[in-house]
Amino acid sequence: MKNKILLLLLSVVFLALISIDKHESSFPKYFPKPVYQFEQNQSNDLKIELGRTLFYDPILSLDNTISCASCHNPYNAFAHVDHNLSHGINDKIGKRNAPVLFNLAWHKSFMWDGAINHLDVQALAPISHPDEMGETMSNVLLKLNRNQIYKQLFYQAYGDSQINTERTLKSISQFLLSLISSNSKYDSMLLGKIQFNTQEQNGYRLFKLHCNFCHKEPLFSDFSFKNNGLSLDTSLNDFGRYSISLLPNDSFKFKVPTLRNVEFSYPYMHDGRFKTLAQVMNHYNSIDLKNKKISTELQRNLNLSSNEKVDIIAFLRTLTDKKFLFNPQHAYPKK
Amino acid sequence: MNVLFRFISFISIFIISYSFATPLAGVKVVLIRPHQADSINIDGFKCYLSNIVISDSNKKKDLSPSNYHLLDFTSSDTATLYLSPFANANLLEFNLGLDSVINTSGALGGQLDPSNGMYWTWQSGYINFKIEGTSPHCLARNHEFQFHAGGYAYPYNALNTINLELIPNKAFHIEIDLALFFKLISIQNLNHVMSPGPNAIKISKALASCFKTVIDEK
Ligand code: HEC
Ligand code: HEC
Repeated sequence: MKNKILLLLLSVVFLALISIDKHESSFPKYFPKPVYQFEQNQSNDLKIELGRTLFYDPILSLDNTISCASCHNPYNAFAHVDHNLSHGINDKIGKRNAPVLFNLAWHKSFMWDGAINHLDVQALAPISHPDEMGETMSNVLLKLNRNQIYKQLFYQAYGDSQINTERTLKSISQFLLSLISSNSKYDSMLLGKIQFNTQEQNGYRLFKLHCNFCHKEPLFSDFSFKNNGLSLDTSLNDFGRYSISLLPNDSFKFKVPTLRNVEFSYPYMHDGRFKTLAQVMNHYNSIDLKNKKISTELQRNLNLSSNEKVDIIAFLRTLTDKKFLFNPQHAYPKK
Repeated sequence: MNVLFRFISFISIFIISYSFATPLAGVKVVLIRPHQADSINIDGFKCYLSNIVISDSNKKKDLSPSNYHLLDFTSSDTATLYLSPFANANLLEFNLGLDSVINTSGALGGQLDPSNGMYWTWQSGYINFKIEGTSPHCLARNHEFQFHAGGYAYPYNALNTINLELIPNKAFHIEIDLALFFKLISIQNLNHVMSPGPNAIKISKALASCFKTVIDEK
C-alpha cells in the first residue's frame, strides 16, 4: 500500500516535470524548435483569454479609439487590409504596412527591420508610438487598474488582481502565441493526407528552386534580413534593417515575411506597394541585375514563363489556412 | 503539481529571507553638479548600475544581492546603493548600464520595468542613463540638451565596466562628477543623443570616467 502511494507520488512529480507548455503541444512535429522560451511565460487558457481581451480593446490607445485589431484584422491573418500603410489615432498614417500575426514563437526579432528583440516587449512599440496608439504604458496601467473587469480577469489569470507592465505584456504575448497556422493544404500534403494537383506540384517545384532560400519551409521564412530588389520609395526613405544596426551592408534589407496565408495578407511588402500576387511575381521576374545590393540568391534572371508564374501562385494559395483565418477563438471576444 | 509548487515556493522563500537576513551596507552616491561658471543646468539624471562585485586582495568575490540598481537624482543629489558588507574589500566593480542578457529578456518587473521611462519602446533596449537640462551654450531648441545612452548590440554596445579602488575597511561614498562629463563632451557640438550608435558610445565612455570613490573622513 505504502509503495503504491509512493509510486503514485513519484509519477505525479514526473508528470509535472515533463508536462509541456500548451502552446508547444499545438504545432506539428515538422516545425522547427521555437525561439520563444515558453518556460518564461507559462500559459493557461485564462491568460490567453486576457491577452485576447487586451488585443481587441481600444483602452490601450490614448483616446480609446484604436486597438491592436484596428491594424491587425483576424480575417486577414491579422494583417491590415485596405491600407498599404497603417492608420493610427487621429487618422495618422504610419510608414509601414502591418504584417500578419501568427507563428510568432519562431521569430528571432519583430518588425520589418527587427527593431524589437522579444515578443513580450513588442506591444510597447504600438502603444507608445505617437502615430499608432499614442499612449504610455504607465497610463495604460492606470486605466486597467480602474477597470473592474480587468481586475477580475487578472485575478483569474494570475491568482491576484495585481496589474503591472510585465503581466499585461506577457498576457498579450499569450494571445499572440496561441495564433498558430499549420492547417493549410500544404500541411495536409506534407502529412500525406492529400496530393497537390499538377499545377500546384509544378509551382511547388519552382518555389523550391527560386524562393525557398529565404521563404524557407515549413514556416516560409528564415526570419533573416534580405534585400529582394525593391526600388527605394523616396517619399518614405525607409532604409530597413540599416536604421537599427547602422551597418552599411544592411541598407534596404527587410525581414523575410512568411508566405503562409499570403493569399489574404495583401497589400504586399513593407510599404504595401503591390496589391496582387501577380504583381509580386512580375517583380521577381524582372529584378534589376545592375543593382549589386540585392541579396545574392536573387542576383539572376528567373526567366519565368507566364504559366510558371501562375503555377507558383497556385502553390502559394495552398498555404491558405481557412481553419486559422476563421477560428472563432482568435476573433473578437464575445462579451 | 500544486504540492510540488508549494514546496518549491516554500524553499525559495526560505532562501530569499535567509540571504536578506544579512544586513546590507548603504553606500551613498553623490551627484556633483557642473560649476556655476559653466552655466549648465541639470534637470534630470538617472542611471542603471548593474553586476556589482566587491573583491579583496585574494580575489575573493562577493556579489551584491540585487544586481540592478536604478539611481534617480531627479529630486535629490544623493542616492543609496545597497551592497553586502564585505570585510577587507579593496575593489568595487560594476557596470554603468545593463548587459545584453537583460536587454534581450523581454518584459521584466521592478527596477527593470519598461514603464520606468528607461526603455526605448520603438527599438528594444534599456536606456543606461539619461542626463537632461539646459545651457546657454547649447544651440538646440530652448537651449535644451538630452542625452539618452544605451545599446547592447555589436558594434554599438554602450556598456562600460567601472573599477573603483577601496581602502580596506574604510567607509566611503561614490561621487559622479558631471562637471567632468561636460568637459569631456562639448555641448556646443553635441546636445542630443537618443538612440544607440557612435555618439551613445562616446557619452557612455565619458560618464564612466566620472565615477570615483571618496573616503569618508571621520
Ligand atoms: C496603427 C496600426 C497598428 C496598431 C494599432 C498595432 N500595430 Fe502591430 N504593427 C503595425 C505595423 C505597421 C507593424 C510593422 C511595423 C514595422 O515594421 O516598423 C506592426 C508589427 C507588429 C508585430 C510584428 C510582426 C512581425 O512579423 O515582425 C506584432 C507582433 C504586432 N505588430 C502586434 C501588435 C499588437 C499586440 C498591438 C496592440 C498592442 C499592435 N500590433 C497594434 C501596425 C499596428
Ligand atoms: C533573397 C531572399 C528572397 C527570395 C529568394 C525571395 N524573396 Fe520574397 N521576400 C523577401 C523579402 C526580404 C521580402 C520583404 C521585402 C520588403 O517588404 O521590403 C519578401 C516579400 C515577399 C512577398 C510579400 C509578402 C508580404 O506579406 O508582404 C511575397 C509574396 C514574396 N516575397 C514571394 C516570393 C516568391 C514567390 C519568391 C520566389 C520567386 C520569393 N519571394 C523569393 C526575400 C526573398
